[in-house]
Amino acid sequence: MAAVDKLEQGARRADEPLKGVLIPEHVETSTGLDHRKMVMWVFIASESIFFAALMATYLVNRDKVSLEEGPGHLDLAVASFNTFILLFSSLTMVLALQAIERAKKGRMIFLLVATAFWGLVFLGGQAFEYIELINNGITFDTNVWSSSFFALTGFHGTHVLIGIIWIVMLIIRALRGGISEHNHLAVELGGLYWHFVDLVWVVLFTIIYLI
Amino acid sequence: MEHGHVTASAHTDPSDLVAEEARIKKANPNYIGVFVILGILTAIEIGLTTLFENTIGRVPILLALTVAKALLVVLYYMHLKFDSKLYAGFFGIGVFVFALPYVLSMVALLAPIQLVPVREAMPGAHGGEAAARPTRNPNAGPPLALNMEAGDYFFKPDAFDSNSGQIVRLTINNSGSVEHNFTLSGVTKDKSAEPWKDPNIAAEVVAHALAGSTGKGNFTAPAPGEYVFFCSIPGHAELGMHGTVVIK
Repeated sequence: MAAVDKLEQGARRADEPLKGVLIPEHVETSTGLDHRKMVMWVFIASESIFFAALMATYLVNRDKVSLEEGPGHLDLAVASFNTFILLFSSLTMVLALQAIERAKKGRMIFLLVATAFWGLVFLGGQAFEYIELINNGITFDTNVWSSSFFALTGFHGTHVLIGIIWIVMLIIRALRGGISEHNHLAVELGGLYWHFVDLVWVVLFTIIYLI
Repeated sequence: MEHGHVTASAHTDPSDLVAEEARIKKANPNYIGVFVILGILTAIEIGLTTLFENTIGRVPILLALTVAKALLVVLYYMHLKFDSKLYAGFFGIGVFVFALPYVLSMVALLAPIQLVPVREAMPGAHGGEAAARPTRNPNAGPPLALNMEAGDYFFKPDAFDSNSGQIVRLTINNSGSVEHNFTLSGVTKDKSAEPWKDPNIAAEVVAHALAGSTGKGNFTAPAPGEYVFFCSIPGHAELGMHGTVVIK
């Protein structure tokens, strides 16, 4: 069905003004969609189930300790700062994709560097928070809250770190000429991953720091 | 399949066509505008939490704001609004068929929503700033390791001191013939000298141990005052299993 839709859309587009040349046939897939992007979305779906398990664990254990044993040591200001940082990094990421779509490669590289930088700032904020907790005697095995908290935010932080490595690889690839306005699916896939990590944080911020 | 393309080019990566299709359909979203809305929604969330802490009514609003933010990210930054519905289908099945029902059922089964936040009833939660943020007490000191014997029917020692905000790492050695636990009253001794008699008094089971075994648990010393600890297993406290902790 989707493939038919694609064909129809392709046909409909034929009466739009053509600004360039026609592109040769692309690899046929049963869906008419690129399988790499498809796999990315399947991966993201499975990642959301992964984080759901950790979130459920956190929510179930959230109120099992007193404020002094964990949640009271969290700093809403640091978490809020981190939230804005990550949201901003999503903006720079999506603008990077837009830049390469418009054939502005230098701008894309600059925006990718900015995204990776803000990702590092986020990790710095998280490290600051971890140190605060550890200094107050709260570590992974202190209680059921701390285990759930460190597992949830630790896995999320690891995802941010992987995202940063991914973006650095994109930058290297772009510098070597492997990314152009006609060949930038890699940027789109990296972007999908980065936005997903941001999306997870949007939910984590609410369930850990707000409710 | 033929495609209009924005720039003339002899060489094209075929895979790019998929991205192309999506992009042409994109109505050039205002990404900065989306970011501004995300920022405003986040500011509202933070404001609500700061102004109405411990008000249960803010929770549904916060959840609604979170859903709105998540949708903005997925629809605009991840382009699902403009992309193939098949991608949305995969993501939707993951989130709405598996992830969300799992979280909701776990919470419903294991931690049902309480109308009064549980933490409010916890020791020290109402003890003012010093108790809510024990890190502010510079005299809390390093964690206190405490070994205690729990027998039939006594605690030994049955009194100890701690500092508000100090983490107490408790080990109870059960020398008795039945299970025992260490439960800390949530109110000071002058409010209830025998908290085990009143089920309305919040109390926290810190550690428990079966006969002949050892149990461990931690708690953070609440606001200064004298608190009663006891074994919450019915009958044990009445038989003498209780003691006092003085928090400075």
